[in-house]
Amino acid sequence: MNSMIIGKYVPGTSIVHRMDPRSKLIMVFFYVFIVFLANNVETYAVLMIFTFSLILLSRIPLSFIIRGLKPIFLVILFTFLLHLFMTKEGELLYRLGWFEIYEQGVKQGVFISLRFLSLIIVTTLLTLTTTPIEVTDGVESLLSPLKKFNMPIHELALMMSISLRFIPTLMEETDKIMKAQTARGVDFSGGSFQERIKAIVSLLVPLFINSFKRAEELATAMEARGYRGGEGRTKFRLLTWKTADTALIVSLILLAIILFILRS
Amino acid sequence: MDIVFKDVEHRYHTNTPFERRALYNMNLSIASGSYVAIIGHTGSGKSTLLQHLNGLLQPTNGTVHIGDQIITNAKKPKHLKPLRKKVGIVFQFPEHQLFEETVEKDICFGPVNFGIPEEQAKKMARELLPLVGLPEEVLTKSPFELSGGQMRRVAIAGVLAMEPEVIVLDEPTAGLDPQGRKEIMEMFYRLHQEKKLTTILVTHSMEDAAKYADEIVVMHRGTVVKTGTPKEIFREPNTLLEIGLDVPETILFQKKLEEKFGVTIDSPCLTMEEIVEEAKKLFAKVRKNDE
Repeated sequence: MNSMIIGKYVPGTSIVHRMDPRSKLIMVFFYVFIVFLANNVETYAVLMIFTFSLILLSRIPLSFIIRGLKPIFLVILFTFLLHLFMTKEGELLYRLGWFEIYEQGVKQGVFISLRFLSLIIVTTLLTLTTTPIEVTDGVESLLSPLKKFNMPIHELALMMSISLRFIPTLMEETDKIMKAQTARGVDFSGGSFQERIKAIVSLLVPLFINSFKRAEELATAMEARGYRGGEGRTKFRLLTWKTADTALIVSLILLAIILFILRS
Repeated sequence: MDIVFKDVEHRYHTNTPFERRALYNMNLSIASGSYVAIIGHTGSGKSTLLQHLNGLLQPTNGTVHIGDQIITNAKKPKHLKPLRKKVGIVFQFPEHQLFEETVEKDICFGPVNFGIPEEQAKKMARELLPLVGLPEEVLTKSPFELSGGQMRRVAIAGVLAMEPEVIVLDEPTAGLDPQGRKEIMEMFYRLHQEKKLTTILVTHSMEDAAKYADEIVVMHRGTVVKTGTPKEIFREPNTLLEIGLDVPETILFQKKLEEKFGVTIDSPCLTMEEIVEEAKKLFAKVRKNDE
């Protein structure tokens, strides 16, 4: 569980870290579609070069990413095998009884796995190099045109950042309450079904009650400090669009064009 | 049940970039039936230490002996339940652990978990209420209808109902009013004296440590820097002040008195009565010299 890196942030000062969250969000959003343009060896090569140059630019060690994505590799392996055995096109490469492997199967398997891998690496890079707060700010700013249609974008972003902010607090509290109940004789790791239910109740009830209490206190504290919603509210962290951000978007457009030309 | 720590070290998040040493070189022995206060700054390792007392944490190195149970870093020890029944821990803000529909059920939760028959547990709950200063009618109420101070008392009763041989108190009076604070501390002291309950108190209040404890353990940055009786510990207030701890008001007053008059008072005064006595003697002497 500890080695899982999806959703984690790794502090750094690389060019990718310093980019505007908006450009990163736009890029990830469109990248998800662009990936589907690739359909032959050349296009997948370009795609992989693009992905790995992003990793290089972020200065996050490749070994760290590989180690963190270990659980995902199982899923990738599964998709690979599925394509390998299910595609029955092209030249027959190997046969053992009813068990057949075709040329197209190998190709499809490799392509789909690479597509999967590149998607996951790029989206993970976003969270690895952007703090949750930056992501929310970026989302709010990108969605702000929708405010014209009376969509509560600021409230949505606020909800997002509050829930992100309280994840560590909740984890800490879960640990504390589990310890307190363990000291009162609860066994969280074993016991009969009924005992397990009772154990979970003894954890969840205090957790819920404390969360409600905290929500109320937070609301009071915000009001006491003059919070009145998003109207006319200025930002503490200003988002600035820099050359690197433009470069990122341009490179994404270039990637799309190259893939479009090279695809068969 | 004697408790002995031998060269205990504890590290959090071992083998990750977040590794942190919380305890090291811990050697400590707590005799059965004694009242020990553990004082130290926030982050000095007190909470980590007390979680070793019933196997909630295992030491990274070294051994912890609790009665005849030995806890080391070897794989998760089994059969910790009997140990946890013998060592009751009142955590900081214990009211956060309440969850049952009625106060009675919540108090009975611990004992029933440890296999005490429900009828007996209920009887115990009824007996404990006056002890922790609650009226009997709260038994059928929901713990969440009570005030914060009352909830704290229910939670304490829930730990006492387990009939532990050792009770560990992690700042049991934090956030209570002075009256409630005094009542709770006096209650634990009575229990300690009447039932010979081994009591381990983690506190920030030097007055409480000086007043109730037989022995004080001073912790600083993850290890023990000093142990001794209250008189021994507060004889040299400067060591405590240097590591950022307070000393009782009476000691501070004594220190000022000694500086002003250029004298030394032999024994550290831990109570108001003692310091008044010493001051009277001193003033009498000064007056005599003036005449």
